[in-house]
Order: sequence, then structure tokens, then C-alpha cells
Amino acid sequence: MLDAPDNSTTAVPRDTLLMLALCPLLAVSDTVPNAIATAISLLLVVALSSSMLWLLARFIDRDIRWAAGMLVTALVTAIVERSMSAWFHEIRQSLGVFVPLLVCNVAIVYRFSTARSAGMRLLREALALSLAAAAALVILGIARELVGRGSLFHDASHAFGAWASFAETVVFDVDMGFLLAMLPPGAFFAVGLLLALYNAVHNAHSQRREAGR
Amino acid sequence: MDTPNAPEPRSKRHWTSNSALLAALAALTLVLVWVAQTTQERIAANQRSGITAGLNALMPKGSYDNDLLADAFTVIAPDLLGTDRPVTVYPAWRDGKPVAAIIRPIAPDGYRGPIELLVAIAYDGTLIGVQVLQHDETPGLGDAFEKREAGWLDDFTGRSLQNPPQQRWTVRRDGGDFDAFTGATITPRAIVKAVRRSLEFYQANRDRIFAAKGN
Repeated sequence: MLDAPDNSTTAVPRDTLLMLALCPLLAVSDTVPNAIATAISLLLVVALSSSMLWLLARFIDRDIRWAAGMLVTALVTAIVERSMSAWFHEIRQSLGVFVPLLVCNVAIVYRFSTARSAGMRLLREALALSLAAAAALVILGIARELVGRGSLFHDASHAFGAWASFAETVVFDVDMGFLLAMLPPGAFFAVGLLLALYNAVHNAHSQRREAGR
Repeated sequence: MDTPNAPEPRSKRHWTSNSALLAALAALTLVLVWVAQTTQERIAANQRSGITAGLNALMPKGSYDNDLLADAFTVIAPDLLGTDRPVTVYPAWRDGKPVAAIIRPIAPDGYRGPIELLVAIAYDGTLIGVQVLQHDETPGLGDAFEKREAGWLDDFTGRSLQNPPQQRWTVRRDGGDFDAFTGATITPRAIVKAVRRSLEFYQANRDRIFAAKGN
């Protein structure tokens, strides 16, 4: 069960499961600084833990791949969390419980990877997925903050230090923006819209390609 | 080969690879311990600076003339202050007369866990203000008092145990006077309860708080 990575092991398609694994991160994408911080943390955890797993690949049997992946990810996440609390404690407070929760998100990514061993293929796949997720988070953050409170980089100086206050812009002045965009359910709506947009573009593109043949 | 349920003989390679993995994980754990040790100081300093920032936000510079941190002492009041660990009280004096007391209680029934507060009470029992120091509430929902509804904490200023009367010292949903915020009731309810209990603690212990003049 642990080493059959194709769709036949699960009733739900693998891609859906991977998307669900990244859902908790949506809650922390309500402002651009939050989204960027989450994206960076995710990339850091994935990069470090998948590199470790790649280095240890020859010692990890198929049976224990998931346990090993979870242990390494948990250790790396703990290190990242402590470092954040020390040097970026404002943003660490802002992200709350979702920094430690990165363990779950990333462990699921490893669990459903198509790589046969914890080697280079796993590293590449995990990095590609997390880069895509990071990009999606930042886009979401921009969209939600613009719609929800009409600003960009709100409280950036809080998150990144005083130098970042230049980035705090108010695009339009609203007393109370479209509140739904700021709440977690709004993130799911936004993801749905993004997916619809992606599908539309993708279908149009492949239709054009077919017509051109 | 053998009986169907006999375990397979473990090869030597199996043992060495597992031992190597354990060793690597142990090494990684040591790195974590080292990181935890190294960052401990800074994290404690960050927490202290959070408290100082909270105190400064509640008590404007000219309103007191003693060193709040130096004169602080701890009390233990599990029923009213939300924890059975020592809670810090910061008495404020000016010109030798007591001006206010700031308490750092816990609201134990937040949505995701305890919420650490700073409650500033004037000598006559009126609330000067409330600050939230630490919490684990859901980002985007329970933490609205930080960003989305930043004015919510201002609602406490000027309140006291009589204003509103005791039955109305809760969120609107429970028949009280305090607003909750969209998408979160448990968090504001917990904070309102903790603030009221701090007021009760102050009322019962006012003389004790200002008895020791820390100069």
C-alpha cells in the first residue's frame, strides 16, 4: 500500500488529493505579506526535507519511506519554525498554527509522489509542486488583498522589517472591502475561479493547436 | 518456503541501512536541539519586547513615572486569571499615588487555545484598554482584532464592572453588549470573559496590588 503511487490505490484522484493537501495554506493567504511568507516557508521546508531525503535515499526502504519522510519533514519544519520565531516573530504570529502544520501538507506530497524511491525524482517533483503552490499562494494573496481591503502589502513593515514599508500601497480606499475575500471561504472561491480560468485558457490553447493541425 | 506466516530473514544490508537511517535522523534531531538552544534567547527577547510594546500602547508615556517592569510582581489566581501559573501584575504610580494596574492574564477558552492578554485598569476600576499579546486563533477569522476589526479592542476602553452590568458583560449573541466579529464568536467571547474576570480580580485585590510601593 505504501509504495503503489498510482491512482489505483485511492478512490479520489491523486491530483485532487495533492490540492487538498495544500488547502490549509489558503487560510493564510489573505494579505500579500502573509502569502509571501507562507510561500517562502513552504519552499524552504520542501527544499530542505526533500534534499535530506535524497541524501538518505539509499538507506530508506520502500516500507518505511512514508515514516522517514514524515520524520525528516517534522524535524525540518521544527527548525524552520524556531528560526522564524526568533528572527521573524511578527509574521510567525500572523501565520499562527499553519507554520507547524506545514508538516502535514508536505508529508502528503511525499506520500503521493510518483517517485519510486526517495531520490532525485522525488526532490524534483516536490520542488516543482511547491513552486507551483507558492506561485498560486502569491497570486491568491494579491487578489484577495486587492478585493478584500483595497491595498497591497498591508503591514509589510510588520512582517519584513521597516525597510518594506515602501511597498505598502493603498490601491483604493474602502472602508470595508468585499469581506468574503478576506475570510478563508473566500480563498476557496478564489481558487475555484483560478482553476476555471486555467481550464479555460488550457482548453482554448489545445483547441487552437488541434485546429491548426 | 517456510510456513506462510514466518517472517523473512533480515539481511545484513537491511540492518546497516536502517542503522544508517537512524543515525542520520539522530544527527538531524541534534541539529534541531542546537537550533532550539540558539534561538531561545532571541525568542524570549521577542516576547519581552511584545510585552513592552503592549504596555506602551496601553499607558501613554506621561501617565506614570515608575518602572513598570521593575515594579511588577506575580500572583496566582487560577479562577480569575485563567491559569494556575503565576500571572504578572504591573502597578503604575505617579507622584507617589497609584494610577493604574496592568494585568497579564490568560483567556483559557479561546478557539484554539489560551490567549494572552494585557488588561490596563485605572485606579478607580475603569478599563484603560486591552491588548492581545499571544494567541493561536485561526488566521483570517479569530484574529480579526488584529487586522480586519482593529477597533474592536477599543470598545473596552472606559468600561467597568458596572458598565455594562454583570449580565451584559458578554457577547451580543449571549445577550450582552459586546460585538463578536464575523466568523468568530468563541474568540471574542473568551476575551470578554477574561477581561471581566480581570476586573473582578482587581476589585478584590486592589489594596494588595498597591500595598508594596516599589521604589
